[in-house]
Amino acid sequence: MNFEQKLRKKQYDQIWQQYCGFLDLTLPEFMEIQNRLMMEQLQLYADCELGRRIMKGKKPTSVDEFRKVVPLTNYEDYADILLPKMDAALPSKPVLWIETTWEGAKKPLKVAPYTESMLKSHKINTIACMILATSNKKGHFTLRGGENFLNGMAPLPYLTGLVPHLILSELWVNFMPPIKEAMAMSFGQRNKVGFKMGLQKGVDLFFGLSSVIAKISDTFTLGGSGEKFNIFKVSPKMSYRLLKAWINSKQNKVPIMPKDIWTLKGLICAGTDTASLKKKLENYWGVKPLEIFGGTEPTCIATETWNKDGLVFFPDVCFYEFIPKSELEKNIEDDSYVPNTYLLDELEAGNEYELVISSFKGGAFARYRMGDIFKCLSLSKEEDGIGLPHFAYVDRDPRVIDLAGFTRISEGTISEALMLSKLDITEWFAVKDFDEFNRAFLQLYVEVGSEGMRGAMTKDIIKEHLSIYFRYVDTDYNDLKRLLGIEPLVISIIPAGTIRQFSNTFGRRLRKMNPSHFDVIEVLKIANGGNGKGVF
Amino acid sequence: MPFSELFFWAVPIVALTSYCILMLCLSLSKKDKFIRIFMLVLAALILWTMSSLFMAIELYPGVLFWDRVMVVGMIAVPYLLYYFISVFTNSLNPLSMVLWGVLTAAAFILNLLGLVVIDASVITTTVTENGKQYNSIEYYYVLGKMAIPMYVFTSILISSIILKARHSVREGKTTYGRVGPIIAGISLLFIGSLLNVIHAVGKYPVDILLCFINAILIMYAIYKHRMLELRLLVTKGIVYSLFAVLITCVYVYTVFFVEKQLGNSYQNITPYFITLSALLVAVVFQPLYRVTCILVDKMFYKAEYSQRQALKNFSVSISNKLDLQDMASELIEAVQLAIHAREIILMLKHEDKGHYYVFSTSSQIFMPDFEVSFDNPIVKWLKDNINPSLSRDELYSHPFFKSMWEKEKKVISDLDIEVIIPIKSRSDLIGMLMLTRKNNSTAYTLDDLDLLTYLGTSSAVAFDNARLFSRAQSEALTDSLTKLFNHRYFHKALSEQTKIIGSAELSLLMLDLDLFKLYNDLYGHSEGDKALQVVAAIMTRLVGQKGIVCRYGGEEFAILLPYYDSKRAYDMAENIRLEIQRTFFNTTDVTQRFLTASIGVCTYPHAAVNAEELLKRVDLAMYTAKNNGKNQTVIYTPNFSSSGNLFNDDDPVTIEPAYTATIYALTAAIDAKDHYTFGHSQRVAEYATVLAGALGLDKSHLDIVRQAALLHDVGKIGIPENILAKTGRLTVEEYAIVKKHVELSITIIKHLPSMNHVIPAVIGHHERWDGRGYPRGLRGENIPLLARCLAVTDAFDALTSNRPYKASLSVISALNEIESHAGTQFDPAIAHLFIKLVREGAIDVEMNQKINQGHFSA
Repeated sequence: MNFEQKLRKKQYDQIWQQYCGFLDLTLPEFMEIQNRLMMEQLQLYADCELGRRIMKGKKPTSVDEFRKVVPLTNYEDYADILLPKMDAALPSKPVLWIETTWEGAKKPLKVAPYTESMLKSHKINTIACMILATSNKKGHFTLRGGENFLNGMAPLPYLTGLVPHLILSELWVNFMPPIKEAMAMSFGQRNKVGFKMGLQKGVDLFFGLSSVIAKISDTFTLGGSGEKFNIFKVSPKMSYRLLKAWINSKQNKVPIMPKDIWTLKGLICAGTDTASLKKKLENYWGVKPLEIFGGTEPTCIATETWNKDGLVFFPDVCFYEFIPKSELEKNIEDDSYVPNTYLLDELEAGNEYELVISSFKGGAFARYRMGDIFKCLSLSKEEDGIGLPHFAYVDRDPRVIDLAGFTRISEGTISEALMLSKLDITEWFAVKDFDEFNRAFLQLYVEVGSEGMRGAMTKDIIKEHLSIYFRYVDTDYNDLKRLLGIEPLVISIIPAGTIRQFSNTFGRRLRKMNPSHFDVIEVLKIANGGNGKGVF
Repeated sequence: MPFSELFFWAVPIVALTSYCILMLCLSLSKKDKFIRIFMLVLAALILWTMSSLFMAIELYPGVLFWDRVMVVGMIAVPYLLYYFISVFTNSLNPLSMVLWGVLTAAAFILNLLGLVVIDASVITTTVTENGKQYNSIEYYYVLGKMAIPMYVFTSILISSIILKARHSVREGKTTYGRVGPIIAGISLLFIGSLLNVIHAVGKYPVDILLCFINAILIMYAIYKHRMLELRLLVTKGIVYSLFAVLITCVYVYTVFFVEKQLGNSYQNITPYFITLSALLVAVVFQPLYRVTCILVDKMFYKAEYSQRQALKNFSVSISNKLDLQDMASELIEAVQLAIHAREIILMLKHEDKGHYYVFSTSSQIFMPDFEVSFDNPIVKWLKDNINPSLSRDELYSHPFFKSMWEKEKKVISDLDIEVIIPIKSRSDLIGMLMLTRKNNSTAYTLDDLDLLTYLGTSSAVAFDNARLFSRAQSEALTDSLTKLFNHRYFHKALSEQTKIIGSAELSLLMLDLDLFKLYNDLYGHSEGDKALQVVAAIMTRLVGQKGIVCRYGGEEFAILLPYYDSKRAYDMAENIRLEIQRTFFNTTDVTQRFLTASIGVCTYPHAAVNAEELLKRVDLAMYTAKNNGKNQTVIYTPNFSSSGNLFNDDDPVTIEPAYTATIYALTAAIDAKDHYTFGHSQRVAEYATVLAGALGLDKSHLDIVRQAALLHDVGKIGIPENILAKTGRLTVEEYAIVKKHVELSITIIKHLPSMNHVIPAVIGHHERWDGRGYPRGLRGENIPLLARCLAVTDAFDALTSNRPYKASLSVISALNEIESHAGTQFDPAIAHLFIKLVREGAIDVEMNQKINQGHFSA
């Protein structure tokens, strides 16, 4: 019996157990699943070229031994096998390859193999997310099938493009726009058409990047998308709702909010800036958004629960290890330092960790550094009856600046843009910051060289130049302004020699990407010369 | 009474009785939604048949009224059947139900408005046949203009029921067995409805007759295919009583009817005849009552009946059994009888291998090859007392099973396992029963699971005992060290095989490990045992299921290969021999190179006529292999002659004098190569022999130490002369080469038949008391005693001789050196004894040096 048949038979308890039952696991039970599936993966690794290489020809007989034998890895360790899609060298035969950009298109497209078994568990977990999005109490959910689903995510071959296909194999929902049509549309077009359909038919579920949902909501609230639609195609129910919202808006002199028109069953969002946008989204849409976390390499690995107040990891997707922030800092300072990792049952609440994953079910990645930082909010939630740790997504690894989930800017990206721009910039460092609307932007502090000082090197000129080259080296950068209306780059000029002076004063070099908050204060103090007049 | 009259009366009575019995059964049963809906269908059928009967007896208010009521029944039956089939096959479509409902309601209204039947009556005419008068009864009716559309509508509805049922069967929602009779019954109703339009047929209650057949088919579907699970809520006694009352009523009515008929026709017949006829009717009704009781039993208690039988048989038989295979068969049979699963798999625990394996199945042919490891969540789930069983749904949906491996899931899925039942004794999960779908494709009920759990639990203790018994039995026939069959089993198997093999070939391999005593002496018995286990594993792996591998005794193994001719047996023997050689030669430890095997092969019936002869001749072949230089396979042929003496190569007594000359020749060779050690071996031999004598060793040991001393440096033959003669200090590499002379000595000695006993002394003469020696780094008394003697005497002679790299020391200085290294390099007791012997003159050093020099100079 598939999900829809169970829904028809009103087997809600069985559905909850099948899809959300993992929330009833105790931590030892969770770890047992982790260990056992890792042992399966070790067997699969042992029989393939990639596995033999990663495990250095050894055959670890326990998970502990695996953690000792296999070093932490990143995509470069797999690129020679994955980029040419060498199926035969992998632990299991993939049925699908999912793609994503690699360092803002500076490198070729990253691809990750998906086995049949991975897809099965991904499907179950995707449906679990949908159930939880429509739930506000344990065991209760309002998903019933046939809902109007506004899908604001990228299509295949991106991971989010799998969602409609996986859901439709279990449950009929009305995707807006329909999948086939959506495939032929650009990202912006899809959202516009979806919204138009939503105005005509209503919206029950909405899945999108937090930053995109926020942008659409802003546009909507500020007077609509500007798109015209045929009022005769609007359903009577929606006509009534639109009219009611319009009257309410006129009477109270308040803008029309999405929640005045739609009563969502569930709002699912993802993306690096979700934490800062969640309140805003709830205010716009009238429902608490359910945050989920996933990636091309591991699939969807965490979801919030019915209370929407913390991510819980799925037990059967990947083996999770965590690098404490302190270890990560050491590693950032010294590349050769091998940070220690901890398991889910060894974490401390309140600490931040970088996530390391090892694929299950024949996936390719072993001890793979995701570059995502999570904060462990609590080790369990007794009030909800959940015995598993809850997390909040913090941000990317400080060495990468992620803007609205659209682009990931690394030290290499900035260096390349600076080099191509031929601007006389001698020193720089970059920090991720947020504007008054909680939108992320890249704050670039630069020191101008003597040549530059002689010429016209204002903030605007530098910004203009760099923006052009950022768009050149990072194709995703362009979408930020185009789709979200974000001004992603802010330039601050600091006096020449500031960064050197910082190094001399503190005896260590200043990190170029996201230096610590305290270091930025110290640098700015030096730049200000103590009077705050040094930064332009 | 003519047939037409009997037909007119009897058909509605019998049909009505049948439906009433069915209705009674259902109303007394535990009701689920299927039963409730089916009761509605039955109610409509009862209305149909009852009104037909009331028409026949022209009950008030009249025939036309009852005819219209009958039509109401006719209209209601298809609609309610459609509803039942939709719910039963889980394909209920509310829209269709509403549509058909509206049309049915319209048909009702048309009927009540009198547009279907305009007029109806029963015409009784008197007919004279063979001079006797009978009443002939016929329906007379006039159909209205809406009758045809009503029949068409009913026909379409019935057709759609048939199509729906067929579709559901194709989709696998139900089986033909369960809905087939219903489809047939509905088809008959369909025909019956159509026949009503034709007046010539419709004047008789043909539709009611078909209605009765439909009732029979429904009963059959319930009885045979468990279309509805009927469970009585009242005791059997009450049910029987109710049926007795019902049948008695019918009986009384029949008797009175007969009396009335006879009374009308034959008034002169005496009451005795009436009594006789009553008796005759009773004779007919008594079996009818019995049949009804049996039917009730089968319909309501069929499952329980089979289950009770299964339990009864199982409890009796299991208590008398200790044989695992028999018990497994009994359990599977009991489960099969009670549940009717398509396939039953019994898995038992394999303590040593850490998994559960397929021990037996309900089918002799189907024996899936898979295991369930102890850490499989299924095992943990079943071990947990809270879970008495595991269903397929739980397996696929419970988060507990997220840790299952893909291949584990695939096995369960491929085998189509529906339920897994533990066989548990206290907290120990001894085994598990895996059941596939039931034969009738119905789901497992809670009662089924209760019964299975009971069977599992009740058999657990017996299984545990049987397992222990089987283990004891197996241990009695198994060698505990190698886990191969033992000597006792070998003889049993040999005797059995020669009996059952007939004129086909049976080859016997006898394998003996070469120099195994030496291996034990060198490494100790613990290492020897490990080597035997390795060899056993090699043989087991290579022979597999093709033969029987036994440990014959000590380091001798016998392998029985049924249906193997000499050639194939020889190939097998060679495979084993080469694998043993490869395994033990492959190691870096030089001293393990000794383990090889000599194998004899003999084949029945070509080379031996019976088991005894086969054994005797294979033994002969094996000894021949040993005497021909070991590490080889020899086949016994009818014109076979042993090429060597069958002596024990490990017996030192046999060595003299055959190899004395060889020993001296080798000693001379090394002396010739290494001029500086000229006579060294001879002198060491003399010293060591005296020393061993002083230690109280017997003559055989004195001989061994002497021979060992003579041969201890024989490996130097293989060391380059420039290294042996080097005057300066040896480099690390050169020293490493020199150290190899021990290894080389062993290689040479092992090719001297019957000289193996000197190897422990030779190989250990460079070991040190403190464990820092070579080649094995043995320490203290782990160094063989004779090796410790050689160590002291060898060092002493080296110190007192001129060497390329040093001048000789005086005897006193040499003794001081020995003394200073006692407890570190040398065994302190032996070193002090040696010093004492030299000082006391028991060992005449100068004389020895002279004698040896003179001897070799000559």
